[in-house]
Amino acid sequence: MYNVENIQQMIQTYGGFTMFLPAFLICVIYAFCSTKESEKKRLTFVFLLSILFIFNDLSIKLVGRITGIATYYRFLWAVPILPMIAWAGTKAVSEREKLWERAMVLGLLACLFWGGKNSFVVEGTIRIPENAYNLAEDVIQVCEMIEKDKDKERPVVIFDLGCQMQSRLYDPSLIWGISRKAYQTHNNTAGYEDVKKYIAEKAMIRAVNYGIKGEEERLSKALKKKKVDYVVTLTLYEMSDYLEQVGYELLGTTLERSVYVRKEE
Amino acid sequence: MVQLALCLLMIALLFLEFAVFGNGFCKLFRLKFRAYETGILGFFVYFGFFQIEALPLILLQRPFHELAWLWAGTACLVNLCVLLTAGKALAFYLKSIFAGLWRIKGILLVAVVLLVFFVCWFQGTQPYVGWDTVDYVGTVNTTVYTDTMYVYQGNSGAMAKELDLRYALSAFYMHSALLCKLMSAGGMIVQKYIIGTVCVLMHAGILFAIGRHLFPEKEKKALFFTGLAFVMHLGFYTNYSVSDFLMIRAYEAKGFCANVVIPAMFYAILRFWQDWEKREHRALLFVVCFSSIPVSMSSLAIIPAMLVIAVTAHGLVIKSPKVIFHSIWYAVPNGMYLILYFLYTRGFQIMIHK
Repeated sequence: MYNVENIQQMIQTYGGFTMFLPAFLICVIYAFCSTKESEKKRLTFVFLLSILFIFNDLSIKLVGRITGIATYYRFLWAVPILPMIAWAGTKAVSEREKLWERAMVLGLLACLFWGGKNSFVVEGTIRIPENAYNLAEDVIQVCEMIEKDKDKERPVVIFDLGCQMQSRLYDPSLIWGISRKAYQTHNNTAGYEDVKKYIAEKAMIRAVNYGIKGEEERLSKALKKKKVDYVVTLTLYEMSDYLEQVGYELLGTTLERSVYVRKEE
Repeated sequence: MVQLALCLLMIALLFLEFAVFGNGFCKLFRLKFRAYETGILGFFVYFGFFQIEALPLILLQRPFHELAWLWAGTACLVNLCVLLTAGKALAFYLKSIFAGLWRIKGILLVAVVLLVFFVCWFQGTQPYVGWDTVDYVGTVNTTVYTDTMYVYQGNSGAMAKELDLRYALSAFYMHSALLCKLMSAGGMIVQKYIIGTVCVLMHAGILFAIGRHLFPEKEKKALFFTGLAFVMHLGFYTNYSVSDFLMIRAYEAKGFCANVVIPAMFYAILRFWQDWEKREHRALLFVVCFSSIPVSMSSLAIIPAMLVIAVTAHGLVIKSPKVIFHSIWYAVPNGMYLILYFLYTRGFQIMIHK
């Protein structure tokens, strides 16, 4: 989401460090100068109406109240930045007669738009997924371990953040013990000030996502409140003894994670 | 490997369905479009039709399998009707697609097709998983697993208190759930490999259509235009740019909004400006507006805004208020969703009754 207050900031964030927005402006000016009178009028009206209805600070506040200010950037999708540049580029290339002239225009376009910091195709992005689900193998192993052990159809599980994000993409029978909101707003090692209704979830986040120990009573209360059946945390935190004290025993480990199950009472 | 083959088959089947729905719609309303326009129209008719069946069932909190059976019956019926009444047109449509490709054969076509396929592959292999991914793919998985629609929260799996109208007003993810059920595959596979690929291919098709409109004299220029736009997509990696939603998050409804719905709207507007009185142009504009929410809730305010600006600008240019009054009502469906959504944000709730 964009944390912006006005249109100018929004446009700057959207354009980033690329040359697309300046290139788009140049192409609009070129289109304006090279078209018929009626098209010039149309372009002017579209520009003015866009400013009047959408791209002004008042609209951000008014329309943003309904659709959300953080998602207002989506109106920028309606500005045909790439089609406009591609139109000008195609026109420029096709109007050159000699091959070397065309190659030069293409080269210029390539220099302007691609190959810089803002390219998608960089080292690491060309990859083959580990499995058909395109999820971490470790997470799949955790889910399968729980699936084999569970004695109720939909167990409640608390995970470290990385595992939580992917777990239900593989196994929808699992129920999160820590909500998205709790992870988004209280995923830190800070204390319990200002956590309000997320106090139980905060205690669980501190344990599973940071390996913080020494809060047996608080954690035990939180686990009971949320009726947690399984606890998944990183093995490197060495939580076995600690979780044993709050009533959870080790079920098994994967390469990175340990899975704990609630002990029979 | 079997799953990959199934995904390819499903993609082909979906495009065939778009062709069937597009040709059926043209036959029903006696419209004449070019082959690629019929395909684009078909995509929107298909999702619009799906929404008409799905939305009442979602709001009534009916089980998911009812929607699955209803849609299976409807799709069979539509396919049968189209085959019987417009079979020749459909065959001609398919033939003209291949004839068109044959006409523009050459190194440029190969390069652009390879580039588009590369983007399809690229988006499918990206490891990105964000909170939104969890929400959307979680919704698809949960729908199939619980046989309910929006009764359980997509991200956590816990039962919801009320229908989340931020998502439930669009049946897009229920369509994905339907594919999951049909293929017995997980939501991640369907979204990443099938839906994401459909997004990229539709985007390429719409760009080609825009190119054909901008360069009516030569098809190869349209092809070059498409290729150039795709090359630029590779380099437009900024926060939430259209390219971000094509290269990384094409499987999300937002990706469809940015790369299918909005470019299609842009194309429909270009055609409308060319000759607003032509039935085909008005029909295309209406269908894109009508089906914008069924494809993506992000279209809620963007599409009406685009329509109002485009139509008003045209009315001012040709000095005819008639054009505005004739076309502004295309925004009514989105307007209704907008009102409903606004009420939802102000406390209007549909409680879960299970």
